[in-house]
Amino acid sequence: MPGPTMVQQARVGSSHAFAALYAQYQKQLYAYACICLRNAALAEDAVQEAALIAYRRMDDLRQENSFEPWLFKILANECRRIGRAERLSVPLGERPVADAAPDNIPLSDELRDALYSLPWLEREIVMLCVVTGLSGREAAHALRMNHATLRSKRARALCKLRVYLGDMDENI
Amino acid sequence: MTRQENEIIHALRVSFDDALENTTIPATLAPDEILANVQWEQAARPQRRRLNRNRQFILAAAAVLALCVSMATYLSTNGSLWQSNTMESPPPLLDEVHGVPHWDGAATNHRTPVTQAPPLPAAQNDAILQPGSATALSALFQWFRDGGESQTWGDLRKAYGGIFNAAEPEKAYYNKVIAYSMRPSGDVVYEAASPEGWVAGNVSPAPPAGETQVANAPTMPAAMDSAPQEEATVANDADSNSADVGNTNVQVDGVDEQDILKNSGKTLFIAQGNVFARPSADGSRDTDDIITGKVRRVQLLPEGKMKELSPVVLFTARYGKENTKVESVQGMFLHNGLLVVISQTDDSYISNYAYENWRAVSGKCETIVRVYGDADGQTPKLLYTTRQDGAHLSSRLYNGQLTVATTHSVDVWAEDFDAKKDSAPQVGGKAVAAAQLYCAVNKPEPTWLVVTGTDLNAAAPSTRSCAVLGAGENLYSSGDTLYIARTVWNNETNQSQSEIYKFSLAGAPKFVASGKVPGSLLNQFSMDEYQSNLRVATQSDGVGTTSSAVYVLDKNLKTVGKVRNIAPGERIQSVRFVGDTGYVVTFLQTDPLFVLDLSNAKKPKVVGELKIPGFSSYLHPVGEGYLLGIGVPGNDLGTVDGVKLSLFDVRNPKNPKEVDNVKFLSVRDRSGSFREAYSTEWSDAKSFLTYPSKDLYGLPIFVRHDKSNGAYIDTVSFYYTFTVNNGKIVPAKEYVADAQKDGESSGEAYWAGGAVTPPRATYVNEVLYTRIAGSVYSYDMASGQRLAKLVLG
Repeated sequence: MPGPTMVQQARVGSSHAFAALYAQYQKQLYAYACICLRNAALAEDAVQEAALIAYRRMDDLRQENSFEPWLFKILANECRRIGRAERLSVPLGERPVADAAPDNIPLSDELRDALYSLPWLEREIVMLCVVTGLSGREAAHALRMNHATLRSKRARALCKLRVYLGDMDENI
Repeated sequence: MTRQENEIIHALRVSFDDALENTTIPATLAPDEILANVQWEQAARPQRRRLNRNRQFILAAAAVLALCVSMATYLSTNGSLWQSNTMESPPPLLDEVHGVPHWDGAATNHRTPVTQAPPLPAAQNDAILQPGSATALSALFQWFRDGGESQTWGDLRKAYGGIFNAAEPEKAYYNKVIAYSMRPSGDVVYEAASPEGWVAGNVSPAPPAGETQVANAPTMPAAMDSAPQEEATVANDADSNSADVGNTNVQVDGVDEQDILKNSGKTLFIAQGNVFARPSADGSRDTDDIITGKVRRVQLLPEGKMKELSPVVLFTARYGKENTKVESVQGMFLHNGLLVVISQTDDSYISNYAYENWRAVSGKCETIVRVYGDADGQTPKLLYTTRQDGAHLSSRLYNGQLTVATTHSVDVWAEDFDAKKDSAPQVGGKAVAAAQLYCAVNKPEPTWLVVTGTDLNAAAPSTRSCAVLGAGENLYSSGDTLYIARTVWNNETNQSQSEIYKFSLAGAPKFVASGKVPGSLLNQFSMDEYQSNLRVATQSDGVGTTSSAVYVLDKNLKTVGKVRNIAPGERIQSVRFVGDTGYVVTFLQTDPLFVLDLSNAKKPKVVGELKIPGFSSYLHPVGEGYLLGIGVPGNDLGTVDGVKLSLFDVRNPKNPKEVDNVKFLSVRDRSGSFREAYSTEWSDAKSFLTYPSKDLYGLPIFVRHDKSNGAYIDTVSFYYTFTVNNGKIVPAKEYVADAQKDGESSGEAYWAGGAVTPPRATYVNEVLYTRIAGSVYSYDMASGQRLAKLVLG
C-alpha cells in the first residue's frame, strides 16, 4: 500500500513535505510573479507570502491533485494585492516606465516586452496557461472569473502576442 | 482552443521552458528558506494549523459542546426550550450543523433573544437563508476578508447561522402598480406585477396599429402597446407577413439565447466585440488608440443584396486614459423592434497598448444591457441602459422577459474594501436590497450570483433583481424557470458536487429552491426541465472514480430518481434530453451513446447503448426518433482529426443504431501537404443552422491547407447543409466563403473582432446568409450560388 502522498503529508502539517512540494514549482512561481509584477524584489515578496499562505491554508485544499492550480491561485491573488499596493503608494509620475526587468529569468527581450505590453489581466491569463499549463477551466477558477470570459480574453491576448511577436510560424 | 492559439501557447511554452531551465532563484526563495519560514510560522501559531483532521474534529466537537452548554445555560435562565436545534451526530462537523443558535456575536457581544432566532427546519440542509440584517451581511464579508484567519471553518457556520436567517414567507407585494408612463402619442400605459407575472396595459385606448407603424416609430415601436408576445420573430413587412426568418439555434424552443448575430428579417445585427487599436508598423506606438464596440447592421435587400447601415456604437474608449472602460460584447437579442445588447466591462486593468504603465480602472466587472428602439431604422435610439455587477454568465429572453445572470466576485482583499458598502452586489447603481439576497447550501465564497429580470414590453425600464451567495457556471432556462448549476468540492466524499439554484422568473426573478447532486455538469444541455422535474446529467470526477449519472429532481430540487455508474472511467462528451428520453455520450476510446428512459421519474434507467468510434460533442434531435451527433471521428484506438456528423436511429430506445454518417477527414497527400478539417467548438451550439420549415440543417466546416514546408496557404470555410430523410443524411448545398489567406484570419479579422468570433448562418426565405471572419455572404438557396459579399472590415 502506498504511503501518504506529499500533499497529504503537507496537509496534516509536515513542513518538510510542503517544502518539497514548493521545490517542484519554485521556478514557475518566481517567473510568474516576476512577469506579473515586473519587478524582482516584489516578486520575491509575493512568492514568499504565497508560500506562507499556502502552508497555512493547506486545509482548504479540496482536491489533492489540484495543488498546483490552487498554489497559483494564491500567488495570483498575492501578486494582485502587492501590485495594487505598489501602484497606490507610488505617485503616477514617479513610476518607472518599465521596471528593470528581472535578469535572472533569461527570456528574450522581445518576448518580455510582448508580455509587458499586455494588460495585467491578460498577462495573468497567458502566464497561467503557459507557465503552469493550467487548463482554461482551472485558470478561470484561479483568477475567479468566468470560463467563457477567460476564453475570450485568452484568445485576445494570444492574438496580440502573435501580432507583437510577428509570425510565429517561422520560428517554430 | 483554436489551433492558432495552441500554436502560440506552444511556442511560448518552449521559450519559457528554456528560460526556466536557466532561471536563478533568489536565495530567499530557496526551499530551505521557505522551510524555515514555514517552521517559524508553525512555531508561532501552534494551536491552529498543526491539526490533522481528527484532532480538528475533536476540537470542533468540543466547540459545539461548549456552545450547547453555554446556550443551554442561557436558555435555562430564560426558561424557554431549545430542542429543535439539537445537533446531528458526527461525522458532520460544525459545517453541517444548521441549528446553531442565532448568535449575533459578530457585531456586538449581545445575544439576541432566542425568540428571534427562527429554528431552521430540521435536516434542511437546503434551507434557503437570507441575511438577517445589513450589519450581519457586512460581518460575513469582513469574515471573508479576514480569510478565515480569525475564526475556524466551524466558527463560520456559527457566524453563518447567525448571519443568515431562514427566508421569510413571501410578502404580498403584488397588485402594486409599478409604473405609469406617458407615450409620445399621449397614451398613458402602466405595468404591474401580479401573481401571474407582469401585466401591462393602456389607460387610454391604443391608436390603430397600422398607423403608428408608418410613423417610423418615434421612441417605442407601436407593436409594444398591445404586447403581442407571439410575434417574437420580426415580421418582414417589406415582403409577406409569413417571412421565414432564421433564429439562433437554442436549447429550448421559444427561449432565446444571446448571440453575436441576430436576424430581424430586414436587418442582420452583428456584434463586434472590441475593435482594437492597431499598432503602427514598428510597434512603437498606436496609430490610433481609440477602441470602439459596435453592432454592425446589414440591411437585407431583395435578391440577396446587402447594404451596411450606420452601426450602433456601444462605447468609445481610449487606451491609457483614466476612467476609460473597455467592454466586451457578450451577445444580443431582438424583441419587437428593440435591439438589446449585452456587454461586460473588462475587470481590473487597462493598459496603453504601447509601453506605458498599466493602471487600474476598477477592480469590478460590470455587465451592461443597452436597449435600443427602432432597431431596423436609420438611427436606432438608445432607450435605456441597465447595469449590474458581475461578469456575464448567460442571458435568456422569453415572452419579452429578459433575464441576465452574472457572477460577481466581491474583492474582499482590496485595500479599501468596506464591508458595509461593498458587500451587497449592485444593480443599476444601487445595492440589491437585503430582502432579495439569499444564501444557499454550501461553504460560501464571497461571490454573488446576480439575476435580473427586465420586462422589455414595459414602457419604462424596470429591472428587478435577486442575488444568491454562490456562483454559477451553467445556465438553463425553461422559460418561466431558471436553473443555474455550480460545481463545488465536497470535502467529505472527496468528489465534486453540483449545487443547483432554481429561480422563478414570473414577475421578478425569485430564488425558490436549491439542491445538490454529486458530480459536475458539462454544459447547459446537461439540464432539462420536464413536467416540473429537473433532469441533470453529471460527471463525477473524484480521485480515480470517474463515472456519469443522471438525476431526476422534483420541483423542490430533491432527488427523486437516479441512474448512477453510467460508463465508469469515461467522461461525458454531450447530453440531450428529449421529452422523457435522455441521451448521454461518453468517451474513452469509443463513443458509447446511452439511451435513458426517464418516463418514470423515480426509476430512470439506461435502456440502450451504442458503441461507435469517435464521439459526438453536440446532439440535436431531428424529427421523430432520430438524433444528429456532431463531433470527432475515430477508430478503435481513439479519435482522428476531422469532423463527423452522425445520424442515430433511436426509434427503438433499446437498440440505438448509427444509420448514416458524413465525415470530413484531415488528409495528408503524397507531396506531404496537409488538409486539416475542423469545425467550431461545439460547446457553442449556436453556429449550428436549423431551418425548421425546410427541415434543413447546417454546420460550419473549415479546411486548412498546409503545405509540406509547414507554412499553410489558406483556409476554406463553408456551411455544409443537409436534410434528413428516411434515415439518411441527404446533402444539400455547400455555401463556400472566400478562402482566407494565412494572416488574414488572424490579423485582419482579429482587428475586426473576427478571430474570437465563431461563424454563423441564418436565412430569410430563400436567401441564406453566412458570417465568416470579417465578411457576410448571401446565397440563393435553390441554386447554391453566391449572391453578394459584404466586407465588414
